[in-house]
Amino acid sequence: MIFPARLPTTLFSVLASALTLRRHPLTVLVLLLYLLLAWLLYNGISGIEYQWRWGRIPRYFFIQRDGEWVSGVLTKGLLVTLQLSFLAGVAALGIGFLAASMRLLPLTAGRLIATGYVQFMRCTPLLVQLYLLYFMFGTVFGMPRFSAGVLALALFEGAFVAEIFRAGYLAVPQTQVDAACALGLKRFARWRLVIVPQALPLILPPLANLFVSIIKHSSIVTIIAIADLTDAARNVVAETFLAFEIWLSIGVVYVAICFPLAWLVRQWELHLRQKR
Amino acid sequence: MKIPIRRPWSIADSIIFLVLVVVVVWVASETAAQLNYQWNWQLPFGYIVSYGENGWVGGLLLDGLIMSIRLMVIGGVLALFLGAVVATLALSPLRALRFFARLYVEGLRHLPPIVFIFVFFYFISSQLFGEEFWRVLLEYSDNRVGRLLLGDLARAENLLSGALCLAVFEAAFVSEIIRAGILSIESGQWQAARSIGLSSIQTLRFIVLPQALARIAAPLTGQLILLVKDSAILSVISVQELTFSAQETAVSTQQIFETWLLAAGLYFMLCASLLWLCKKLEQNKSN
Repeated sequence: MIFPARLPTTLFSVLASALTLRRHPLTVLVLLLYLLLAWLLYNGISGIEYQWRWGRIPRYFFIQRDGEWVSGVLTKGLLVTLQLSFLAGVAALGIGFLAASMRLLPLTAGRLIATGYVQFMRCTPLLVQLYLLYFMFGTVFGMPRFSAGVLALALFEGAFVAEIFRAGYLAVPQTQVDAACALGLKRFARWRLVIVPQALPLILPPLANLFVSIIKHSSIVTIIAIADLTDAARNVVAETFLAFEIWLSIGVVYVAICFPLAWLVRQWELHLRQKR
Repeated sequence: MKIPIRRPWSIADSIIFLVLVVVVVWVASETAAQLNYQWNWQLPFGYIVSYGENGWVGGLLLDGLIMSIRLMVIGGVLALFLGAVVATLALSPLRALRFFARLYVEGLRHLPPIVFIFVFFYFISSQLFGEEFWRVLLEYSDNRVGRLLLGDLARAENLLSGALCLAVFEAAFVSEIIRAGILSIESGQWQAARSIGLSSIQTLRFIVLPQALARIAAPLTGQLILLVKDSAILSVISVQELTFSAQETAVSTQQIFETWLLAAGLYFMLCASLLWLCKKLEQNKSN
């Protein structure tokens, strides 16, 4: 990982080795590769004779009105994205728990339904699910856009949550449960003292990762015109034609949110693994 | 492993089954009551295949499915190639190269596909290659193989840009899979190969890659499923794949529910067969 402690040293060493060309003769080649890429990018952009206007970007994040700073369109969109992701994440947790229990309990119909649900969600694109849900439940039950978006995301991620729960539970060896039985622990005590403490460290990091990826996946709801970050960006681009600047900023915002979170989860996972 | 004992059918099963039936009936009756919706499966089915004067003809949805499969094949091959290049960079002893690979992987992994597609498709893929490139490419692909792979050559530029876009995005994930596969080969294998006098290229070619390939085949297939699913997003930039043709079908037939259910079913068939392949490869590995 290059974040964040080693980032300055990495950058420095890249620069140093590139400038002095001392350590690796191949560095020249690498430098040429970077130059080639830069040239391709530049060529792509200058092909449409683009005028850069970065100065006009900040006002879409924060704007000064009557001496007060208020949030701009993109910041509002970001808040909608976070709200949507949070609600969908909580709902996905419930749906996933239900589906996982239905698969693990000795039920025939429950297992079939839950397995079918998980397979369907894993094998169809989120976009198609969103259309299906929005056009069906949206029109039939008069469901507002936002709820349809949350529900579609929750159902999609719920399948993955179910798989995580199921894998975590199945990873606790049967011998542990047998030993707990032999010690005379009752059913509830077995869960509280033996199964949950062992399954939880396996379940929590992937769940946290899933929450991070919900933020990413939530961008798809722009298709049904929910005013999230991506949608706000599309609107601003349509109004101002600042396409490059807006899309690059939006990309940076998503990466700036998801990358540190994913990094934290990774560190946490390593920490949990060391403890075991 | 705690596999619970499966009972043939229990009271709880009956309750779950009943709940499902009630929900389905309720949705269907609400649909009929609220919208006066006429279910008509025949009409959208005609957009897959229909029987006319010229015999059986494929419809819009079938064209879309074929286009999706083309995207899968071209995008998959390109992603594999690019991913292998990035994985090589990530494993290189040069820090500058590793840095570039990490930047690529971490940058793309945390970007929503739809944002990437907007950025890449509009500004780069359409400008990256000049008109001359497309003219020459289309000239060369004007044969049987080219038509099989690209379909209608007039729309090939659109298809290839879409496939390239997908490939660049998925290559970030593919490179991580390949890198992990190569790193998972024990160092003893390298040492043993060197000690019997193989060069490092030979070691890679005869010892490491065959073992690594067996390990990464299943995750790569899984990534191919994700590629197919992400290809649905290309419909927003007018690549005429399955989602796009489903949209057109839904508009022209007005049978919205059936069309989207059919489209979902077609995707399901495509991805479920890939999932089956993935499971087979997984079993192959453990044997």
